[in-house]
Amino acid sequence: MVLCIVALVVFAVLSIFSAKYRPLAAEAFDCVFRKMTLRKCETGLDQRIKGEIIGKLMMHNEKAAGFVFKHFESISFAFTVLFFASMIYSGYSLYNLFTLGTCDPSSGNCVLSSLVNVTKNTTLPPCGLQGFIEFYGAECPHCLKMAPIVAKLENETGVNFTKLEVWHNESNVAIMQLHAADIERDCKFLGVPAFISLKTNKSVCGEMSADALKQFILQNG
Amino acid sequence: MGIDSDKVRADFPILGKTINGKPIVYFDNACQSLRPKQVVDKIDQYYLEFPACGGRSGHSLGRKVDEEVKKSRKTLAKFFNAKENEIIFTKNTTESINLIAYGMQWKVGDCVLISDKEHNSNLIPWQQLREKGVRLLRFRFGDIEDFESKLDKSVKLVSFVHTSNADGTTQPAEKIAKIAHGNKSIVLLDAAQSAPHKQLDMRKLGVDFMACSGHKMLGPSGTGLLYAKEGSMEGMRPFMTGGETVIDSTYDSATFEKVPNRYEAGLQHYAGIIGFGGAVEYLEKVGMKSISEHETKLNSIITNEIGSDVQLLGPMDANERGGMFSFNVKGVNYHEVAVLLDKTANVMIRSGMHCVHSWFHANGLDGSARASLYFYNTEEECNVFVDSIRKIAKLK
Repeated sequence: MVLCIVALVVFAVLSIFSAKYRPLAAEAFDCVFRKMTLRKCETGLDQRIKGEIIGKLMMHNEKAAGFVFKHFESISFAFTVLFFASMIYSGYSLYNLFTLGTCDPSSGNCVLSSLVNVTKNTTLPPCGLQGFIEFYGAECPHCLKMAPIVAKLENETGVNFTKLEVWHNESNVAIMQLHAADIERDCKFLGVPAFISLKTNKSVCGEMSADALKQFILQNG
Repeated sequence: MGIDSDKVRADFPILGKTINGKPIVYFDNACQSLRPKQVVDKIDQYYLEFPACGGRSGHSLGRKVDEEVKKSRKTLAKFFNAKENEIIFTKNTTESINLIAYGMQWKVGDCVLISDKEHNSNLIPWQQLREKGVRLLRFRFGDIEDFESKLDKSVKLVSFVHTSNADGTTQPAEKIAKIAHGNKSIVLLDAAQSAPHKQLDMRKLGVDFMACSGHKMLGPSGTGLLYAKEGSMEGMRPFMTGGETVIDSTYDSATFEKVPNRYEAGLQHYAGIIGFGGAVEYLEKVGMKSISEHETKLNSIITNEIGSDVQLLGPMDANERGGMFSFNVKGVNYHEVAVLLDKTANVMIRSGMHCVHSWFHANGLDGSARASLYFYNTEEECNVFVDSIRKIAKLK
């Protein structure tokens, strides 16, 4: 049954691209339907698939083939759970990608971000680096005062701040909301400018000296 | 005289091929046999040299077709010890049986008696006759006493399988036919699995009809024949009518041809018929007795070596199963066995209920794996089969 469910999903997807998989998808559907209605699967599809897998294994390692054969139901159940879990997680990531511009809002690391059309006010950190985010408002006077300090520290430390405008950009507001709990914990309020480390989830807010911000970068970078 | 395996195998080009570096071990002969190049040459010859209509066109190509078809019919008639006009070409055993089922004049209360181990082709056509009020009775396969007890005056037709494709066992056809005739019942023999492996003499067997398939005995796919004893087709309505079944026709009537043409409607599979004749010529050269002995010898090797993890369907004595080995491996599904044999050793067998669903259901069996041998199989192939089965048995 488990095998037939996986076969149904796999062949259904493959049959979108190639007609040769459609009869197999139909067979898998028939098998799943019969099993769900408490009848025997008559096509032998599950046995054929099992035979194919075990047969290939036998060519390489008979002991491994024997192990897989004996525990086939458990192994296929585990793979089925992993299959659906990874499908759900992939779906969640794609949802995040298209709504938030990143598939992983907590770290901002996402190789697919460049494929999605993000607003010109949003700068995402380069892949592989642990980053910092600065949430700011375009007309915020405190943010304007912090701008040269941030630029100077970026040069000195080599760290890049991802600058997200939140007074006019709803996507960036949504990203700030994801970090709201961390910002409010450390700053006692949710405002701008707010600086957050994606590595430690620690934040500092408001106008501050270059030394103070530099300390924050060094302790949380 | 034994079979020279090397010489024989050289006539089958497919046996020289390999898949993933391993040779093919073809053990599915009960489904269809392989074809020697002599049969393939006959088919090619038709299409390349005289691809014309037979029985109609008077030109030289048409006459050549007629000549070859007649030659084929004569060869087959001689092979089965029958007359030429007793051989009707069909496309397989199933069509041959249906020709009788739909051709006979039935009345309410008539009965057809079959065994309890029939292929669907010798079960389903008779089930359809229930609409006409015809009853269907069964006797236990091979049990003459049970057969006699079921035989009564209402039994118009006894139709039974000679060699079962489920397990290779054979019924005493001559005896059954004699008893049936004593009851004035007509006898139809399903010889699909016996004609390729045994010498069948229609005069000796005494049956009224015999059905077999060419593609199980080296012939082209889609060929078969119905042997109909002279006079037995009187009153039989043709199953299909049309061109070549009539001498003449008007808008309102038709004058039908004699047997066998009356039952060979439309353009025929000339390449197939000519190839079928070539197949039987080849079998005669090999010798049916040698074929039978060779298969039984190979089956004995398998039966003796296969081990205790295998449950055999049918008797242990290979002499009673001919070239057929129907089995289950303990703990491994029969479909899985077939796929594993194919994937690991290129051994090709069939799995399932082999179109004998009724018998499997009646005996509480899900199905089986089935290896069916023929004269071109070798001891070496049997050893490959046995070794592979042993490895599969170890999986559980």
